[in-house]
Amino acid sequence: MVIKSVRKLVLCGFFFGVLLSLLPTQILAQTRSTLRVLVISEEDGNPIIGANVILYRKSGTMYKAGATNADGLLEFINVNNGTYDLAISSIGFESQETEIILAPGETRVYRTELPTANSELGEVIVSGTRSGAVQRVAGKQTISVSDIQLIPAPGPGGDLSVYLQTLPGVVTSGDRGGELFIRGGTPAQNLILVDKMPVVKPFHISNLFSAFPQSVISNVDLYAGGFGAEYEGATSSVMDVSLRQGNMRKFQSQVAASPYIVSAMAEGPLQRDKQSLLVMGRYSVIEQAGPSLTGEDVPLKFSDILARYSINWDGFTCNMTALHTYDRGKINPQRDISLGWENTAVGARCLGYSEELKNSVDFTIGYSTYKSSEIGFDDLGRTSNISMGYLRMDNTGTAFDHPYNYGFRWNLNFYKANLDEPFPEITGKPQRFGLGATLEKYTSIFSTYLSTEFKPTNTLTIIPGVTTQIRQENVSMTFEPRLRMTWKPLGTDNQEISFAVGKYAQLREAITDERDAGTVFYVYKPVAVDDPVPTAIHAITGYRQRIGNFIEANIEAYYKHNSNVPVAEWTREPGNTIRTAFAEAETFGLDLQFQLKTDLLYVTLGYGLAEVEYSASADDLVAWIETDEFVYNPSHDRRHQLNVLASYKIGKFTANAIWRYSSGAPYTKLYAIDLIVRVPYQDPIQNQGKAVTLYSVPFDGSLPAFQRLDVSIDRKFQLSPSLELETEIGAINSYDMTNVFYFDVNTLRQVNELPMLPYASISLNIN
Amino acid sequence: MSIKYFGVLIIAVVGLMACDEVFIEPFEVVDAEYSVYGAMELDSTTNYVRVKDIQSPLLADIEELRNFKVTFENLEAGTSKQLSDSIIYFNNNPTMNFIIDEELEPRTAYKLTIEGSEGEVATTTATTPGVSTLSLTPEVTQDCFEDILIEFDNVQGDEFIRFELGVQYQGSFYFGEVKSVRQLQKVEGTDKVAVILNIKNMLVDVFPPVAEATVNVPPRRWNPTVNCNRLDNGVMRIRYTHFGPEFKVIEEKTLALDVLESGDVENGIGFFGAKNTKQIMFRTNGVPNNN
Repeated sequence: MVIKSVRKLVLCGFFFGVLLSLLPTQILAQTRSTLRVLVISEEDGNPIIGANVILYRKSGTMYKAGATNADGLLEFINVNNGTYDLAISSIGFESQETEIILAPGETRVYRTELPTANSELGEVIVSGTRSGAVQRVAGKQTISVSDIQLIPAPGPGGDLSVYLQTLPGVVTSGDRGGELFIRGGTPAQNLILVDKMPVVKPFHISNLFSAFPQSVISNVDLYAGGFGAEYEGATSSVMDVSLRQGNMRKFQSQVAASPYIVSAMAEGPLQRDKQSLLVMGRYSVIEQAGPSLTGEDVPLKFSDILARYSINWDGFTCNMTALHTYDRGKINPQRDISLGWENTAVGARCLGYSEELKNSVDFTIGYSTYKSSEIGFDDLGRTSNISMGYLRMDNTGTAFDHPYNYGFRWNLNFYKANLDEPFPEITGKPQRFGLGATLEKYTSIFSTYLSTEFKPTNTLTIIPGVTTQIRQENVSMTFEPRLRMTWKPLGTDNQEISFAVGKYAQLREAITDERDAGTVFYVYKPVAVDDPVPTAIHAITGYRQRIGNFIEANIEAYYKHNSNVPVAEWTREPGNTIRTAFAEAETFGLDLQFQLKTDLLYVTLGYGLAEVEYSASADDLVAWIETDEFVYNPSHDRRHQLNVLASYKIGKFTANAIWRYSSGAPYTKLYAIDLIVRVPYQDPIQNQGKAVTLYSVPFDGSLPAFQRLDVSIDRKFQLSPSLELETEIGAINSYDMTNVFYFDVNTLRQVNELPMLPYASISLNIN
Repeated sequence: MSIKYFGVLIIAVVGLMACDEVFIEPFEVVDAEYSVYGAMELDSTTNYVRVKDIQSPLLADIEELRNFKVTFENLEAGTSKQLSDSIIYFNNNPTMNFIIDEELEPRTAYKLTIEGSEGEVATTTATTPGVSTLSLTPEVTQDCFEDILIEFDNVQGDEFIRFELGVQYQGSFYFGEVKSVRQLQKVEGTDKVAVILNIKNMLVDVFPPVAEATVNVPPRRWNPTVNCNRLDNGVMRIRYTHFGPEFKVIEEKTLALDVLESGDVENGIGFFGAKNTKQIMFRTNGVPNNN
């Protein structure tokens, strides 16, 4: 039965895709031309992301402008035939200007290589793709390698995970667990894409690391909300990670070590300018080095390996990526619970943009799995796995002289969970999750989107779109309209007002006991056919202002309303269940960011104000509390966040420091620890009674405020023309602040975050 | 102020903040400070009641546990005494069980007061039941299907009675609380409770039938897995417990104790009550002597 349904859906998906591809994508536009600009780095032959491309009329007025995407490509559709001046610039590269003549109906691919520049002056930002702390546009922030590099991390090199934690609106539950809560959303409500390949949890068990070190990243688009129609399947945020290609022109390698991690990377051309390979592996050593550095056990083990094979042919680029991550360890070293998760993802993303194609075609296919477990001391435990096969096509078209984007995605998911009770002989609870010990479920989701871009004036851009997701089980369809707008009143990049609003739906849910920060084990499952679909409404408005050449500030206000958020029912005793209550969640927030940037000094100040409030029927959620509706602020409600980052170049050294503060997180206090004697059947002198810990009202307490100062200083040494040594010394939590992670009800001990962690790291680059 | 001094000031402030150790208070501040577990037996010369500070850890040091005193008071007579404790370890968990060595009077209220070192007080009261007599009519039955009137007197107010049948089978005595076929009912206009059952009906609770055999079958037609013919002999016992009025709050849940909902302990959790347990023997001629 299942196989028949799957086969039927595969066929439907295939034919629908073929039909879409055959649609006339250019109607009434025969006399207009298309110009595709591909910008390549002369140094390594790799695409340059975010390069600004401006098409000037011969009169000198700007005709069209944009920025290159993750493939270094920018496409101008509906260009009037004629002669133009094409200007290309990018930070760190020499600018270029050339004349372009377009014939009627012509599709032209212009490929250019930019040499590395000694000066960064002269770039004109036209499209808002500049990275940096204040560069937010309606919830979207583009993160570059140079941004990541500024944040002290016990390296070697920076890491995306550490950078994300410096952003206002991004909250972690502590320094372990690999969980990110973004603007009120939970980790399960985030969508993480690596070259459009979904990866469930690429963050390591130590929150200082992810599977994305700076050395493999090209750039990251983080949508803290308000994302466009091209993204679906998440109700909080999207993190779209673009990895870089291996060097197309020369072989390079790197070996690096720090007390936390050792790594090795090799890359180079398999065929100059045509094919390259990049391989990187990292392995944690903090379990061995941690005790001598911190005086505490650090039972954390993680590793990742990434391989990327890239093809750049004329008019065609293809990247095949394989990623595997491994994490295992204890969040509370005193607790006999070992948590583990692994991501394995293999996928290919290909882009066709040759002159023979009227419209570029973006095609992605792959397979991604996520395995997670929570194992007790007796090797009994629980597992929850997801396997995802996916197929995706993104395309552009033109109708009535107007360009539009459309695409479809098909996801076949298999959920499997074994939910045995970890300690049945002790707790006497054979099925901790209540509704059976296993879960096996296939789901198939087909989604499509359509969006377009209007520019009523040169300063105003409006991007409306719509997304829909269709479930195989009941052929129900979501309707998710989206709108993003930007307005540059002055017509320059010095001032920008942005706005985004949209509706979002998520057909997957993840259940955990939020009250217990000591486990990050989630039971993943599809939304049951009879259950309401979790949805969200986002509204964001932002204002960015540059003052002079050095100062820039940004303010964003946002609101999220999540409906039908599944929250595990709470019992008075600690323990999990997959029985859920449906909560309504509201998040209000304001993010303020200020940046001072000179040649030598870089300072950012970020402040985030947010309130997250959940409400649910008390009967469903907290049966023992006598009220109709239970309202609470969950553990990721960090009301105030303040981050100060400073980076200063002193001769050949760069000193970095970041101080982070956040107000205390809500937590659930205890009501009692007791030995319950079953009177009158048990006699207190004959029976111990049942040991229980009883929770008080959920999230009624508040942890102390968090603060931490991380510092580092780094320097590069050129040992020979082909050998470069990068060194860094620093300290995480440099003034050894006691930050409370949580109170563990199982061990009845307060668990603190890591004390001061000094480190020194070295990287040897062989060119 | 120059930027240099400002920097020094920031470092000093931050350094001072770092000097503080941070500890959180994991417990909700509540009135409930103690748990109490005990059911006094009316005829026993020594009874025990377990008392625990509910915010102290299980494996706490014994001296740490001894931070309160327990007083036992006869509310009728107005007498009171401080109870001494008896420490009993279960799996290395020390438990404090207080000794009540006072002779208890029927239908008398006794109050337990727990007073902590910082003045916090929890109280609970248990009222002993009266003394009830069991009568069986007929006293000796001829077979296991002959109805018996089982009657208890002197059951007043919120007091109630539960009883068990005990039979000898393969050399051992087996007891089961009699409740499935019929239950004791108040005899209108009297202080008696009574029920009419035969031995086969009562055996259902000693040797319950398999679940499948009870589907869509009324309880009076249920058959025990060990019938009369297979018992060792016709000597039987009835063990009955006369519960004091405090047990009424948990009676409806078939004596399942919800420590939080019982409401029995003021400023605390748990349950403290009193009962009177007795046993009689009777016989039936309907069982062959299989010894």
